[in-house]
Amino acid sequence: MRSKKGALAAAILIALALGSCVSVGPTTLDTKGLPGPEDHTLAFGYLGVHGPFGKTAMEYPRYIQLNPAFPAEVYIPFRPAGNTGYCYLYPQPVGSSWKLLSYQQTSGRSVTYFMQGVMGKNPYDPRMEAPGLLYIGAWAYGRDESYKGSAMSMDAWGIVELPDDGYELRALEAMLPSFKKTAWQPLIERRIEELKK
Amino acid sequence: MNKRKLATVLIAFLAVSVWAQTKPAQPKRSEAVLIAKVRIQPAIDEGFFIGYVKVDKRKPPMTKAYLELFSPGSIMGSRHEEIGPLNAFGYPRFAIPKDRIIVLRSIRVNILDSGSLFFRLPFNVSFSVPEDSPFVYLGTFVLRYADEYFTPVSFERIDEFDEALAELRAALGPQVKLNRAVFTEYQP
Repeated sequence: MRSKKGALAAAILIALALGSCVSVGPTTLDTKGLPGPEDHTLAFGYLGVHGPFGKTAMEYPRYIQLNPAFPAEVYIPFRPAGNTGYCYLYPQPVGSSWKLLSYQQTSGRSVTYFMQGVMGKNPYDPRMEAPGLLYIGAWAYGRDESYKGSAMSMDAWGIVELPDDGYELRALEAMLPSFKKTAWQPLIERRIEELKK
Repeated sequence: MNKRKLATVLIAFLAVSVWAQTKPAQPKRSEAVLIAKVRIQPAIDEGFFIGYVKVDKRKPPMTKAYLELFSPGSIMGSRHEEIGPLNAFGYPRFAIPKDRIIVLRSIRVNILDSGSLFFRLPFNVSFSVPEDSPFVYLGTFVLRYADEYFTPVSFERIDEFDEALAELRAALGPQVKLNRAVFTEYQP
């Protein structure tokens, strides 16, 4: 009896440990009451961490809404393909402005928070100007090879743009199952067709 | 009894260390008082940003500016010294280094004093604290921005030396001497 309890506790601990390994943001989208493409924008792209230990997702990128005409909200992008960089933001109303406020990196038991602040619009900060799909590009935290300064400088590290390597297509393919039977499905499928040509 | 004493001393120490210098006061002999004011135009929509912060009704949060300072000869890193609320002179203090040179790395503004709703205005300039007075006027810094992303349009240092001196003398007497900081670009 005792050993069973022990085994259960161990199983829970292992599950928690493994769970925290791949937890980088929400994965499953609730399509009930999902806003449609007529007055909302679906921003998607790739936010990763590329380093000597491989390619993983950027952990908990928090997007903050900055336009005072819209509600004050923070969203973490969905991860349709698990612990990879492919991600999309819950559809947001046209006119709202989003900025990557912070993200984090877990290494063992320590967590490093990267605070971006609220000043300046980076290319991966979507401003919802038109309804429909909005590709924010493919970005990863890593070493900037074009940096000219000292090799030891921390300034050489940051979020850098990745060369176009089919990221948009793979992001769309990853998120398509989540948007099945919604008004977004034909848009996503149409864009996939265009990119496959 | 001893424990209680220790607790009192600790609490007093904490209370002093979080005390912001919003009114001028005589510094310790080893300290410089750096006088600065930050203005942001147009004004930040605090009514909107309040949606992002926890609100203590007894102590509503205020947008505050900080100086990021360090002394080049020291092994210590940068320190953030509080200027205080916007549109008013602040009197942050900094220990005078041996060579009397202080580096101003940046000015940081925390919207509603929140650590995540911030922006940083880089300077990287050095200035020295003159021997004759610990009071140094750094300037009045005016940021103008364009849109909801606070895209900067201009960032100016304007001179309000006379106003700063008047406020200082009103608080500490007419004998107080104030110097303007002379900025030179800092190269590590």
